[in-house]
Amino acid sequence: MELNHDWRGFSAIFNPRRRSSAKLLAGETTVAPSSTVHIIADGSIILAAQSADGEDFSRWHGKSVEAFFDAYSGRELAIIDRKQADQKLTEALALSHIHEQAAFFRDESTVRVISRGKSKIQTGVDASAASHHFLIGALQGWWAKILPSSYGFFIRLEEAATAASNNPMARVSYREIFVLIRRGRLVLFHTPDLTSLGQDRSRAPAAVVKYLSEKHAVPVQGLVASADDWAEWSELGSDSLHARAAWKKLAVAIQSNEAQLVPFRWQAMTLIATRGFFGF
Amino acid sequence: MGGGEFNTTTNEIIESTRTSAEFPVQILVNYWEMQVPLIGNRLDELLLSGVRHVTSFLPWQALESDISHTLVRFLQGISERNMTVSLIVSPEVGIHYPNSGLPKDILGKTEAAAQSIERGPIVIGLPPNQFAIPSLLSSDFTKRYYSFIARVDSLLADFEKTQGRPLNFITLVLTGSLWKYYRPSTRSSSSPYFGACGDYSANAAVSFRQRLDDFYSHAEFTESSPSAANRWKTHEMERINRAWFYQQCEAIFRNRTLHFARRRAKSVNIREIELFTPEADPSLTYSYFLQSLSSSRRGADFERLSGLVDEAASVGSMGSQSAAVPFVHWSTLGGFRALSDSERQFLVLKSLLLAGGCGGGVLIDEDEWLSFSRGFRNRVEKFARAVDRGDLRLRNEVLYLCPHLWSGPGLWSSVFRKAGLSARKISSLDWVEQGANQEALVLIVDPSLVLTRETVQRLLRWQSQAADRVLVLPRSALYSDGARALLDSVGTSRKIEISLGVSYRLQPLGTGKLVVYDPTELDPTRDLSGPEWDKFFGAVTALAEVEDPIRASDARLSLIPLARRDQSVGLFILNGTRGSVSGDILFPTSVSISDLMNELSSNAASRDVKAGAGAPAARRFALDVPACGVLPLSVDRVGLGTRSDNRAADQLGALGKANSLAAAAAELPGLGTTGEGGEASIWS
Repeated sequence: MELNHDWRGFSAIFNPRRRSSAKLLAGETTVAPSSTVHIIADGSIILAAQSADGEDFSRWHGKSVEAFFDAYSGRELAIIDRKQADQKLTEALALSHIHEQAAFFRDESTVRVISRGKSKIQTGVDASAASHHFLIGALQGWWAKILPSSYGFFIRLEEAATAASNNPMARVSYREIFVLIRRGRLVLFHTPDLTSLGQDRSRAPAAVVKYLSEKHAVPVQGLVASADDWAEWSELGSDSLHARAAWKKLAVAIQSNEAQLVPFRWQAMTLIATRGFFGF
Repeated sequence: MGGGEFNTTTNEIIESTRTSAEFPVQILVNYWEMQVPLIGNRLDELLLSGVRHVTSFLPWQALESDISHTLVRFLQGISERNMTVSLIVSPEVGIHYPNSGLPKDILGKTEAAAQSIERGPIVIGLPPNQFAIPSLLSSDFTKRYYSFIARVDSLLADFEKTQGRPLNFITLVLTGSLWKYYRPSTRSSSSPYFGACGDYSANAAVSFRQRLDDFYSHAEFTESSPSAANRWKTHEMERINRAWFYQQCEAIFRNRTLHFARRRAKSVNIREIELFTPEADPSLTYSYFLQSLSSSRRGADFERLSGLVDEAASVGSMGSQSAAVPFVHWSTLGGFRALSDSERQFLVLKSLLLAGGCGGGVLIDEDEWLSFSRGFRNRVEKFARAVDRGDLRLRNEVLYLCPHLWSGPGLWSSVFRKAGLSARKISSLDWVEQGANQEALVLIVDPSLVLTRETVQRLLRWQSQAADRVLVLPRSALYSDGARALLDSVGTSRKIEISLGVSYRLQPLGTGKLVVYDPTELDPTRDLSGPEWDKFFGAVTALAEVEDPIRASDARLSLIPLARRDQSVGLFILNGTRGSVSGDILFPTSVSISDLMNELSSNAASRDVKAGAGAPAARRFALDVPACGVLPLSVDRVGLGTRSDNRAADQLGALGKANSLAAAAAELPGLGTTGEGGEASIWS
């Protein structure tokens, strides 16, 4: 059965799991977290708190914002009123999948930002703070103005033999996803059902791209890369400071035939290279 | 995590799942996530890897729109390969399907949506989309739902015909569904099960009023006068009445589901469980909301997920036929996925020990399971096998009978603080009467429970069924006239009134005791705990000779003591923090300890020589537990000390005394046993 919104497949490709837990734990103990702390408060009582650094603030639930502010006086706080959060949660129910719902929360939430003793009201969270996958971020950024209103892209990640052998139940040597975008919105994402293509044709990326393009009546751009390379680019790209490096590595990989654009389009290559070498 | 030698292979781990559909580690392989033509290949791969039993959810919407007969093909494939399968049919959360498999048209009706006590929708924040859960009391919902269950039954019955053989390779798994999720995010965020849990929608209100009238129209409540029932239906009683109402609704839902599920497909096995999906808990909805704002990719919900696992093991849920054992489902759609490897391993192990120790286990996605290291999977497998053969089991020594399992806490906090993991929160006396749960020594009744004559009768029967049991009842106004008369009739002249913070009356009853205490508050959703209650429960547990739980000197360490078949204890020391912790473990008696992993790894012969292999006997041991570590210890008592040992010694002493008296009476004329109140004076 083909799911329209295959979140597991989407996460596996666009939000790959961090590689080393030891590195993560070590990082948390040596580097002082500095990101904005987002808080949902009922009056002055904290109901939930989160930061991009993944700190566990659960012991603060039920305590006052003032006490929290005293304890984290150097940090920027973004406070959302509970009633507003409830309202946004209810309004977002009409949206079809969690990616859209999360974008809605980011765009529509009104937060009170407290930083260095100053307070201001702000609607919408800075998109640059949102650590999209570098590719999704680009597609929903200014590229959206020059790309077709409807198109799809297909990604195939080939897994190294060692990775597959480590997995006793490995059943495919590659992982795939097809994403359909209409007017800048992700309307469909799933692992495409290619069984009607036959085994041989479904292995050929060009045939798959052609099939998907005909099936959805949109232009489709394919990308074939190794899973290891993709994981490395994704980890780099998750940090906005290093996103340019990720694009550069992708461009170099395409140039050296380690990754493949299917079909090869100069326009797509130019966009990738521009991001990689000039940063926009 | 603690180390250990692992001799088994991954295949052995997975192979162990083929032994039974009840193995404590269940691998989730959802049939609808497979492409139909590839189902056979997929099952062949699983079979080659040694997997002979799989578990799959059966999403309602997936079944209704299954035009390519994916389920039948999947079952056909299972049958052809001599595999077995568990199908979880009830509406559940945390399923990788839009709206967790609930039909979109039902969710689209605002009148069919559930409402929390704050009169807002209850949003489940997990992918693939956030949605508001429906009211299980809505007629729109129930009509469609029971049709769905009947359709599953028909589908299986038809499949049985085409197969021409019994479908005993299929187990339908019925769960407690959405009832426990009817909690507002606001109150749940600090303590998940504190406060009122229940559907406050208009559907529920109508149903509540009807049930209230039915319940209190019983002769027991109208004996003195027809209007006497009105005192039970006042506004002040609403919280108390709603608590039992929701519990009754859940029981009816379970009964009806079972009834519809086994009308035609009689050969299908049916199992009832209580499925907990911590990631889908309403207490995490705000957390997920903030994650989308802060774009955090690191898991920040570790402590809360860990706390939700604790909650799962503390309740004794009752199905329609048998106790519904707890299973913890890690969907990996929410906060669990963002945790580090060691944190995820910690949670899986903790779930296995706590839920497995109660007869349940852990349900985990196949990919997630395989993402763990081979060493970890070996370790889990060893514990799972021990749990499966009943060698690691949580004891149920103290029971807390409350009107609603998912509302609280009432006095539960104090009870849990005193008795630890040997305490279980229950809402049905049927649960107590289940074979495996009859070891309880103390039964404490929540002050907000409405007590009828039948309930009191059953409580007294429970108390008299075994020696030395202590029954603790509230002295509240929530007794029916019949119940009060019955309780008064069992009173003896020997009563002691005690007032040490909490006033209570103590009286002997059979070989045990009856304690009647004065509650200070009747609201079931209030936290009534306090030092006076701690003291009271200390006295009550001492009466029943419930041993003090093993304690850790550092509050960051938590302990899971599991009873073993050889009377020793498998003690697991858990450090749920991101740093190592040094602390002391304090035992109530002198014990010797050894490495449990070694014991589980070794064969039966070498198990016999474990005594003396560990550290010297003591009551206090110091140890270091690494971050997210779980240390398994085998604990053996030194000398007499257990309650059963003491009781045996008492019985031997009493027998010796009786024999001496009998012998003396035969030899010495004039010797008699006289005295008041059963007290014997030896020489007249």
